[in-house]
Amino acid sequence: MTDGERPPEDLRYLVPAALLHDLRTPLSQMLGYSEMLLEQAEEVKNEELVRDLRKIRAAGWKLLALMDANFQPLRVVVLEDASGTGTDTPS
Amino acid sequence: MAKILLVEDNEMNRDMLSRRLVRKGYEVVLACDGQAGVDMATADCPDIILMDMSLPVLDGWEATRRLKANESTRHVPVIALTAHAMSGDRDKAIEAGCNDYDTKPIDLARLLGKIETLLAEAAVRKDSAGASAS
Repeated sequence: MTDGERPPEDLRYLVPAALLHDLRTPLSQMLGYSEMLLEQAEEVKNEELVRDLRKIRAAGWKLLALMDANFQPLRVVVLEDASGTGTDTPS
Repeated sequence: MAKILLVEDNEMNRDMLSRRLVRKGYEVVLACDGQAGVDMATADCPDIILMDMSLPVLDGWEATRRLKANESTRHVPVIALTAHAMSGDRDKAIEAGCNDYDTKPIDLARLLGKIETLLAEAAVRKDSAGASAS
């Protein structure tokens, strides 16, 4: 299939690698800071804050999964997470 | 506790990851570009290096090649960190001399596992070298 034959709504072929990188950078920061705050909230047993921060973290990882799913043809490495639920799928 | 050299040009990534590692008990020293990373690896003698690959002055691939070409730093494990996760990136990092590779966003538990594995392997090599020398 040539570029001209691909459906225009197919983001997998429209989004350049640089944009994927640019999207992952702030997402990485949001996830990192939220997880650090979550650890701190867990330490002081602030249950309300823990619940909210878990929602932020879950939303962030869901966004990452959506990005990976839509850009899968561009990706080669989906590393396993610590719980072993990820996959290693060359494409 | 082990000393980690974090080479990362993005200020928020540097701040966030260094604070998380310090909270886990590691000593963390920071470099903002590849050349500073190479210089600090020689001067500060870290136990392991976390190397962003898209860096100013000297990129992470070239910085790693220089570290692995230097007798005083070649034994220090290097973990490549990148937000790219694209075709060829992992192979490119390993070919440059990186001992392992991880992607951003960081899964901290996974990264800590890789750090501890490489530190343990380095300790074994150091013990073996010491036994051979004595």
